[in-house]
Amino acid sequence: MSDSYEIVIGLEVHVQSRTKSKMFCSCDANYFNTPPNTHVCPVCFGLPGALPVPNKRAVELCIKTALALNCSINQETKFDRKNYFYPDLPKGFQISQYDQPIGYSGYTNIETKEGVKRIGVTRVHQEEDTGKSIHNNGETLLDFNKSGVPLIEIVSEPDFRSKEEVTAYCKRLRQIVRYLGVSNADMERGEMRFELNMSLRKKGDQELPKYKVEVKNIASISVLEKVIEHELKRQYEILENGQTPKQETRGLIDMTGETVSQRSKENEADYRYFPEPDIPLIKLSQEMIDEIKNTIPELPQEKKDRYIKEYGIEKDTAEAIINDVDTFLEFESITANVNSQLVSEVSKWFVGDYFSLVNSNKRSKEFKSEWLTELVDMVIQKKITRSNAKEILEESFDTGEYIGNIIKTKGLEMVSDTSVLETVVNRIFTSNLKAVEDARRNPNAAMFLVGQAMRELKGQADAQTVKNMIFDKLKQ
Amino acid sequence: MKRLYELTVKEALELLESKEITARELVQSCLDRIEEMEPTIHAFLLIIKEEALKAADQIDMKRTKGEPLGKLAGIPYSLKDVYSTKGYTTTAGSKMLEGYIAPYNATVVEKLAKEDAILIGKTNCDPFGFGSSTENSAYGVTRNPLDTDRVPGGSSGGSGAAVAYGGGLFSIGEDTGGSIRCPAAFCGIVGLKPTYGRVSRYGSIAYASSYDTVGPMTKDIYDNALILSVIAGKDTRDATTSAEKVKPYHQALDLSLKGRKVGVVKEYLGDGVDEEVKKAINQAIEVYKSLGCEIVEVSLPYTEYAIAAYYVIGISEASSNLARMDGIRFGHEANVDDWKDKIIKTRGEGFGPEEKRRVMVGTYALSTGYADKYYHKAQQVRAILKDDILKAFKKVDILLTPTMPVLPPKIGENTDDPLKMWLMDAFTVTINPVGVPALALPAGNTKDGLSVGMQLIGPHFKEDTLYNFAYLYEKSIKDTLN
Amino acid sequence: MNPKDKITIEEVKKIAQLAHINVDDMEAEKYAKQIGDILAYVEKLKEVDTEGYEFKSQTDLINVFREDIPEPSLEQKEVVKNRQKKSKGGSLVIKSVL
Repeated sequence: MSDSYEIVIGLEVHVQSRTKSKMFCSCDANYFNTPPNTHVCPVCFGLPGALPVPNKRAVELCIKTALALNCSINQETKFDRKNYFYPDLPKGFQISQYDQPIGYSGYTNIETKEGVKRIGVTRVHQEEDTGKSIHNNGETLLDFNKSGVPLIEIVSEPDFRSKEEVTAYCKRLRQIVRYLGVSNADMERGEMRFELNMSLRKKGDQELPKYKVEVKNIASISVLEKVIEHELKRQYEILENGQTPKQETRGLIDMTGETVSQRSKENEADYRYFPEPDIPLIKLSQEMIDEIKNTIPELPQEKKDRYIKEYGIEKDTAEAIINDVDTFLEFESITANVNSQLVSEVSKWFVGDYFSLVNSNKRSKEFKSEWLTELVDMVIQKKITRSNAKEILEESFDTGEYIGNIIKTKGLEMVSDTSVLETVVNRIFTSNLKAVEDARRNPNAAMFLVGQAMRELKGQADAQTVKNMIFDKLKQ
Repeated sequence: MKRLYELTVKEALELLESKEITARELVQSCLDRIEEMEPTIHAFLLIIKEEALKAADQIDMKRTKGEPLGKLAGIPYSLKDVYSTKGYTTTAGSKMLEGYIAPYNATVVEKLAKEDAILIGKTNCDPFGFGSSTENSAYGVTRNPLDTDRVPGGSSGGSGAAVAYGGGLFSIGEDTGGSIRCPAAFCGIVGLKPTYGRVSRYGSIAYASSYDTVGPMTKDIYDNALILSVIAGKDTRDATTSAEKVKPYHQALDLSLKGRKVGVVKEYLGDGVDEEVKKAINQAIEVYKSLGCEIVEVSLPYTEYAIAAYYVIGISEASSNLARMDGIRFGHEANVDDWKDKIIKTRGEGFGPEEKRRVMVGTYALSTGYADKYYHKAQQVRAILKDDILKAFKKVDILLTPTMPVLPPKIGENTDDPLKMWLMDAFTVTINPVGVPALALPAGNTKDGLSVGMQLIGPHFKEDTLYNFAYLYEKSIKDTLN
Repeated sequence: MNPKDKITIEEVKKIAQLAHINVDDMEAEKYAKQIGDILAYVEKLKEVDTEGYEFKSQTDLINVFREDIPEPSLEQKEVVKNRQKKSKGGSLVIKSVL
């Protein structure tokens, strides 16, 4: 079916920002695993007479996110009320932004098999989260600790043509907000959620399809992928029957990604947006915007490009390092002030042996990750062998013993003193006269001598150096 | 000699400070008066006796010991029942909030408590401020103490009646389109609708967020100015409050008005204005002339559209503000299982006809396909109204108008015709969309003993000017009577 | 107002549904008339030439923010106080929304 039809997807991504207090009141925003209704006040509980006062930090984080997504910033912005009824929406409206979102007309790049693709970001705006409904045996328990937690909504253009692009975008967004310090975007905690708008069109069509199916409240990227697969099949079958899928909001049944048509009332939403009269206008000067812009760190794509260009790090290795903030911070700290050859070499060890140790072994408290750089440097300097280096790293990681001490105790340092090497080679030549004769006639036989010399050196020497030495001597 | 409940705040403070009376005596006198009058007037939805007397005793004790006391120490007051009070019911005059107890205090309640004023009760009102007669209250009508067959005005009718008969020495009303000024006019007292943002709205149950104001209702101008100086000011919990300096409003009341300009709005003295009202306003004009003022005729040509714009925006905001009344967390709750039906039924049962009407029309005015025609158009007209009034203040210091075009209607006279009721508010509703302050005070009396109110309107944050003009008027009327 | 602009009972019911207010047939009939009158009255707004006018805010204030500092919330028992019989372990309980 993928031959005849093409997916058209737009996404709305909600990210809870990491503030100390809620969006419009001073309740503690860190509500995870707290007893129900203990982070609640008249404002976020929607009591009569309570009034919202916006959190400055939250607005700054929203501006930062918008800038990182290459958005233009509305220098005059405001909050609006989005009116609808739901038990976990205490005020009967959500404070959001309607026609003057903080950011608009941005984009972000994702990497696909076909190369880099630009995904348009329609708008980035600030709103507030709702309370939490927990369904249990025919009852719904309402907890308003989450009510009023700041939420950034990132709306994309309908630019996605495959599930893989959607996944790449979501992961990229998650990296970006983490880099920015805007959110942990921990999906298990509901800090990042998705809304899908999806339709199919005949391949080659340029216009957007005449219908669009919306699926809200998708809690993870893996469920999002399943919903796309399910919808692809469902919509395809309808189209193949010569019909057009209904334009509607479909509900998610469970984590399998299957969706179901919702009561028609849900589809008649009329949010009656109007400016929030309780909050004065917001005017953002270029100076304020620039100040926030200056706090934006190097973002994942730039970082990756730089790793590749500046250090010659391999693409996949670079991707593995930039994937999360702690990883690249560690990498950058252990490779600070070293040459690019070493950075590139360390990167391989870092995502290879070091990653596997981190994942499988217990790290000793005394172990310092900068020792990895020292170790790799010694390998490059031919002071130790590559295979010994792996063992040294593992031992040091487990025991916390300094790598230099392990090398010394075990006598693993390579012999690089030419006079020592010459003595050994001379000795091999004198005690293997027959083999020397053979080697002079047949260079292949020389490898026996190299093997003998390496054995005498217990492997603690660079084989290539020894080989060169023996060949030189054979020519004499 | 006056009975204690008849005292003004100023007089009472002097007697308390000189220890000629105690706070307990004063509070008791008001409570007795309430007991005497309530069977006829029904101004109160909640009377706070024990706690009020206890608070009075504590203040008396502090005074005896010479401990520091607040500016309003021992003064009994009432609150319109739209202000959240921790531990006491707050109903907004609606069945929807029957039995609702707020877990927090409105800012105005906190400020008055800090100055040791004593809350003795909460007063009746049209539900959520929806009305001009207090007849829409879910808890029965309030009668006008000046003529018990007539309405006290509204929506803060309970506050107006309570101040007029001595059920507390002042009250805090709430004014969205005249809800303080109308009952002030009908009950013959003084009521201020302050500049938008002058007094914190935090804890005041919202009608129309961009109109709502919190203001004092008092027996005279001095008291009004004194109370405003206590309740005004920036509040971190209300983002729309201004940092504009709070003046000691009661301390600059008798500056000479010589050469000042009083604007008389010609549209406000035309057809439909009661002859007795016109007479009183003309008398006021004469008084200002005698005080050395220049009278300037001013035109506010968009007045006839002001009422329409006022209502469209007001009820649009109200429809959203009242959405939180869903039966889930507080207030009335329909006995239905399904949550959606529960919300719909709760609102069907809890809202009275006036609430339903306003919420429905407001919903309509904001809905897709109609928002441009109604809500957005009304906002544009509002911009013109603001221009209109601000232009007038380039020519004059204040505007003088009747507060209400008519004398208080008889109870039941208008209840079947909501539109007629709306039109009665023509002179007050035009002010709130613009946000300027307006002060209602008695202009004079009719031959039947009713009071006629006049309204002084000033530029933003010029409450001091209004009080100055009002105080000298009040003084000259008193002088004539004496 | 034009007779064809009159609000019908069906329209009243549709508005009531949007406003989440239960309105029975008798009420709907009464409101149809009253809402019709009100809309006819506010219809006069269209007579005003509002070209170029925009109302942005009731206040001149801009950028009114709170610093991001948490303060104590209400106690749980205060939060559920108005629904004591409908609370369970501090949560409010309603019949399932699913």
